[in-house]
Amino acid sequence: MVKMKEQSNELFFVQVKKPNDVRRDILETLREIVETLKGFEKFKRIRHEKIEKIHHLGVLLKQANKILGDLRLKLPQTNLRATAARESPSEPKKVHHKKKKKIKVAEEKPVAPKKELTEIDKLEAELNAIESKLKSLT
Amino acid sequence: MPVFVKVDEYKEILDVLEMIKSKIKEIRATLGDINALRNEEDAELAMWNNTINEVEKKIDSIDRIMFEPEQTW
Repeated sequence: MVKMKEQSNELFFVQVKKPNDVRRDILETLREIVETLKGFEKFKRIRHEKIEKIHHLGVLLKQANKILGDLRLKLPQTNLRATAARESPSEPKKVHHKKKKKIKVAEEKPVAPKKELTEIDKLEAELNAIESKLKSLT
Repeated sequence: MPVFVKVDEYKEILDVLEMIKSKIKEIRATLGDINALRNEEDAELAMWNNTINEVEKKIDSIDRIMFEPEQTW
């Protein structure tokens, strides 16, 4: 009994100011946290959907690339050149230089990498080929 | 110098062009979807930011109240 009395004498209590406000604040915070968690689930779904769409976009771009390749093959193969009249007299020399450089670069590139070509490397090579064809047309 | 294409090949080319046009439409629609999803993501992140600000304010208020008790006994 004496011990119990001693213990009760040692206990301290603190009165909380505006307890209803504190309760309301805690509950509102809890509600907001739960809503954020709900939002997080929504965010995950959106992100997943976006990744799928990006993947689909990649597939579509590859298909478009293939169709364009087919179109190029269907068009007649000609060695059309722009008429010399369009070019100014000083330009042909410059173009010629660039062409030579491009050809040199094109000749050097296929020799160097003997490793497995990544998708980017393949696309880079394709781009270079298209660029050189465009140069030869103009 | 004019270039001539056989009629059947010409038709094929037109078909391929139609295919490319429809593919481009599809690509444009997919890009639109991705854009919309990105906007949704951004909106969600902005909402989280606001929520965290609100939560921070409330926690500060609770902290203030708890730090200044009415009385003790």
